[in-house]
Amino acid sequence: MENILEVKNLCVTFRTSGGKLHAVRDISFSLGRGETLAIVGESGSGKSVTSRAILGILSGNASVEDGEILFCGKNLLTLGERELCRIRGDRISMIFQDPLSSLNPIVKVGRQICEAMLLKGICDRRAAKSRAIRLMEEVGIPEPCLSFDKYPFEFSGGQRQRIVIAIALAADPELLICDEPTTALDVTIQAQILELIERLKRERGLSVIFITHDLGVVASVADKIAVMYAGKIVEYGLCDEIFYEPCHPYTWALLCSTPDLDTQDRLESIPGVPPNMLNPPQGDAFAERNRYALKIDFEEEPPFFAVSPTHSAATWLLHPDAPRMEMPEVLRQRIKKMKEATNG
Amino acid sequence: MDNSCVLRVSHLSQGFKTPNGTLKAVDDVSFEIKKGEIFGLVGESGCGKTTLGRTVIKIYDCTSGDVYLGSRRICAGTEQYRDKIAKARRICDGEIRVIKENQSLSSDEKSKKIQVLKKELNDSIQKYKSEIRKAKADQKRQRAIRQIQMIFQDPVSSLDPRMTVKEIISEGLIIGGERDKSEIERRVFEMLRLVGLSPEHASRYPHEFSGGQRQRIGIARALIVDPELLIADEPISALDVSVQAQIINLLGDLKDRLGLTVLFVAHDLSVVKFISDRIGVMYKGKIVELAGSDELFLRPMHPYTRSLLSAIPLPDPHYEKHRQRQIYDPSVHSYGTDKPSMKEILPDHFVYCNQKEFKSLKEEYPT
Repeated sequence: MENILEVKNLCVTFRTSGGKLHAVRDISFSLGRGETLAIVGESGSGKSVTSRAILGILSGNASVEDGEILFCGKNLLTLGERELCRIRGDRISMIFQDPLSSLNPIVKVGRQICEAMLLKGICDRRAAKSRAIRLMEEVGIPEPCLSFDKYPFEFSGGQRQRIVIAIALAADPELLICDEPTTALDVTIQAQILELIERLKRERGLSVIFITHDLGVVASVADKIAVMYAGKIVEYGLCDEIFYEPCHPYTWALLCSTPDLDTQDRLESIPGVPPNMLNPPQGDAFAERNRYALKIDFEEEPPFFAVSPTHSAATWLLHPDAPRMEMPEVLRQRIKKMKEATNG
Repeated sequence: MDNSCVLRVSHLSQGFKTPNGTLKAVDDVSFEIKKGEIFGLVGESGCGKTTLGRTVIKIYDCTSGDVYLGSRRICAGTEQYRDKIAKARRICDGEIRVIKENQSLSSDEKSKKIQVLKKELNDSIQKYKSEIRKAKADQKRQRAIRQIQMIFQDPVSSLDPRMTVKEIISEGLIIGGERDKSEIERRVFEMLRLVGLSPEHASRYPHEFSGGQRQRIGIARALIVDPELLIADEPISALDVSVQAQIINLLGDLKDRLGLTVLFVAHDLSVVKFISDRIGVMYKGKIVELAGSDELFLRPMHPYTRSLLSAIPLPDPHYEKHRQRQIYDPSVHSYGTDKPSMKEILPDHFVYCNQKEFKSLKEEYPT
């Protein structure tokens, strides 16, 4: 499959009063056309920074230290602002977490949807309006002709997110980056938005990067999953591989720490807090909080070990000399139950 | 377990005045919380679950209905009595008109009858007015509220950044009249240890802590006055995934150790299921279903509950890809003449339904 996006050895740092903050440390991934990649991690793991680096909208104190971001073979990091502008919004667009703060409260939503088309010179004002109404219909806004002249505050949270999606789709992008698009929403609305993104992806052949902290959310939408921790990808694989055969202790811990509907016993929480990225720890960043940490975890950073051609994880546990560790009992039971449910 | 009831909410309504009339955020809600129980309240945003919690702790003055903490009434609305007065007036006026138009009576008889009616009306108005006075007096009594404490959603904005942790935690104790410095210190340290922090944290400021630790400080602050009821308003939704489990476990441990009674408000269903003993599902200001947590997930009866349960995301790709989501359509109910109310379908399983739905549910789930 042809890759629409390729990120190679990306490193991003921020200059802060406390020193250099290593937000993204040497990550690489690729995204095929029409594929969905989910980036999962807790806050501060560098998932949003990665997506902003792709769009070139990092804040002023950030610098990309190293790496390449190839979009259709073109390195976005070497492009000038003018050329980037032509790609941004036009071929890559983004949906942000909070639908209220990403809409302009004093401009009617119709005009906000048209704005991108007019700026890009895709069509004139009248054509833009009819296209906008079609878009609003496509994302499921009731009575699009009437809603065209409404202000953002007149819509509910879920409707606002639909409008944000319509704006993102206005210039017909090839790549859509969704940065926690459902975090501010309820379960029912969340399910609707996920179904919408899934449908748009299918109909328009979009490639999607889906950023979230909730593993449950991505099970329905992702083709590939990258689990990030402390600025690094710790596990990378197909959706089924991550959920049914997780290999990294952090992925185990993430899966264990959320209760499912059958959980009765105490939750297995992850002790401690993520490391301070001003001075990243030596060795594996997760070692401090890892029950399965080996001595070498504190001394040397683990490289990627391939589990299958599509699945790899950065943990010393996969080293041939490492002692065999089983995933936590709770998780094994849960996966067994899921497999039985699928087969039976 | 002692089954005595800690909190009893009866027919509570909370309205807000808006330019477009009154908005009923909570509409005639009744439930009980027993001692040592965690009662979960779920629903989508805007369904009134947070408002309900805030009304119970008297951040808002309730419009109508009563809230009892133990045997004391702590919140009392006056709207229901005003309604009754207005209704009595209307009925009386109607009867007087009938008498006046009656041709067979002499004017003397008429005025006598009218006088009797007016006296009855006045009596009942007096009765309701004294109820209103009582309600207002109860509403003013703030002391009981100290027995209810609250944990807020956002651990950043709910702690004063200019106070040390010790000042934050001890504030409730000092307001309660404790003056002995060494006793205060002892209690603060005890609380810090209880929530998994250490005494040396007492002299620090909130910004030096992570989100999870701040939420622990919020819990310590709530627990220091030995509350009878703890209201936790989305205590984990602002936290990181890996930290959420820590706080859930902490709440569960505290419940076991101190016999805490908790009103747990949240929108994350799997967490509510995990932590609560009983769950109330709210939709548009009303509790539509009320049952034990296992029972509710095993046999969801109200269509809204079913749609809510079918929307829970699970970390299972195969399940997700074949998920059938149910969509709730409020127009399936025909509440025109057959008015709905809370009815018990199975023991301790209540559903908000009308007679017709009640019958079909009874057939579907025979006891």
